[in-house]
This record gives sequence, structure tokens and C-alpha cells, in this order.
Amino acid sequence: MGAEARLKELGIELPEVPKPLANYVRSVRVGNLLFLAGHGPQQDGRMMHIGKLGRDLTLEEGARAARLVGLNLLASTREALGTLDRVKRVVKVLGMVNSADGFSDQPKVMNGFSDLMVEVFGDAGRHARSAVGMAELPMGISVEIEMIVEVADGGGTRKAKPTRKGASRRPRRAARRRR
Amino acid sequence: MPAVAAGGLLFVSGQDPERRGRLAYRGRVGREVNPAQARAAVRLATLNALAVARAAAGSLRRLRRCVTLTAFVDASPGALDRDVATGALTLLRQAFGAEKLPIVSLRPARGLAGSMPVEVELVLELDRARRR
Repeated sequence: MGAEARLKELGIELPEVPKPLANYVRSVRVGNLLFLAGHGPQQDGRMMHIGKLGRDLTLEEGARAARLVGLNLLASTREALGTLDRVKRVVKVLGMVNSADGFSDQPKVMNGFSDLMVEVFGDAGRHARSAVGMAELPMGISVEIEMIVEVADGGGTRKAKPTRKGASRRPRRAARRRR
Repeated sequence: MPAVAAGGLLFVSGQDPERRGRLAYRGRVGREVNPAQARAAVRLATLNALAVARAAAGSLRRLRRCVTLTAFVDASPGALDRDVATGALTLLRQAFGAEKLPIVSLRPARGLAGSMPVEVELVLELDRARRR
């Protein structure tokens, strides 16, 4: 099942694409990698879950914030690629958790994000990750996350063929060179 | 995942300064952890990251170089020394050669898992044969 079908099955509706807060873009694609800017827990144009873990928010609220950031990242990914079905896999994630002194459960907070990616993408949602505490985040948000995803080869078709380790790539490369 | 390869790069998850599954350093740099220990902690976390990279690539020879080293350091105000990655860079020089040092980012953190003082993540370039 593709990611879009799974989203539907899970009854998840993505938030509207978050607006950049300053002079930057939401994502940049280089080759088959899509780099996404740091995203926050935005809903209906507002940042939710304001505050620090270990002071203002419980672990559960932090995990919910991380999940909401994940939904925003998915919205930006869909905007960049047309459909989430073109995501080959989630590659690398940096989770920044606004932390009060002494809070050291950043990984548990970030699991709210990581679990969502596995729900939506299955095994392809598993990623490399760093989860760290921050003294401050913009506008006092509790979680900010950056993500890198790998894009499947080929045009904007909905069905990404599983690659047979390079075998299917060579003809396309040759075609590109001819142009 | 400990590491994920994509686009000719190997992304290694943030690694801890641990030995045999136990954190070798705990606390904040400038408080419980002195500068020499902080350097040793960054080196140890980098060593662990290299071990992860080797396991993922099959051999260190399949890795051309380290591209970026990011060290998150839980440090008191003013205690984030810019030479905290010195030992780690020596290690990477030994592994890949002096002309292939990575760019280094030192980032102040407030709180890391298990109250460790540092966490290190690496991005490495895979040998062409390993690219997918």
C-alpha cells in the first residue's frame, strides 16, 4: 500500500502547508534527496504545544507535538513531490526539543514523530536520527524537526517501482544524457 | 536505524559517548564534565559513529571520507570550547587522511538523552561502488 492510501486508511488529514516564518523555503531537492527546513507544530496557521519539556509540557504532550510536526513535514513533502507515494524512504531526522534544565527524555518525545513515519511509510519510514535538547526554540515552540527524505526514481507517477539495485537506473541515465 | 544510506551519502544517527553499552560521561560540560573529558567524550562518540558507519558500509574502505561532523554539546554558558572536537578530528584524520577532514559544527544543547554531555552525528561519503 502506498503512503497516500495508508494516510487515508489511518484517517489522517494533513494540515495545510505551513508558511515559512522568514526568508527561507520549506524544502530543497538535490538529486534524489529532499531536504526539509526545520518545521514546528503548526495547525490552522498557529503554533501549538508552546513551552518546555520538563516544565510546561508532559512527555505525552511533547510526543503529540512531535507527531504534529511530522504531519507538517509530510504536508511540505507532498507539496514538493506532488504525492507522498514518491517518497522512497525517510533518511535522516534532527529533532530539537525545547528542554528545561534536567530534562533528558528527548528520544521519547521524538518517538511521537518516528512512530508516525513508520505508520505512514512502513519500514521505509525508519530513519537515522538525532534527538537533542535546546535551551530555546523560535516562538517558544516545544519541538522543531528537520528531515531528509529520499525520492524514488522516475517522474510523478503514483506507483514507484521497487528498484532492482541499480539495474533499472542505467537506461534512464542514458536517456538523460541524450537530451 | 543506526545509519541510512541515500544519494551516495551515509547518514549516521546521533551517537553517545558510551563504552560497552554504558555512558562513559554524564553531566554538563563546565559543571560535572571538564574540558578534557568533553574532548574525550566527543572522540568516543565519534568512534562509536565510525563503528556504526563501518557496520553499515561493510568496511571502512567503502567510505571515502567524513563530510560533516556535528557535535551537540550540553555546556554551561561560556563552556563550549571550540577545540572540543580536536580528538575526534585526529581520529578522522587517522581513518581517512589529513586532506579529507569534515566540516565541523559545534552546537550547544540543553539536555541530551540520559544526561550525557555530548552527542555526535556524522555524514559520510560512500565509495562509488556502494552508491545506490
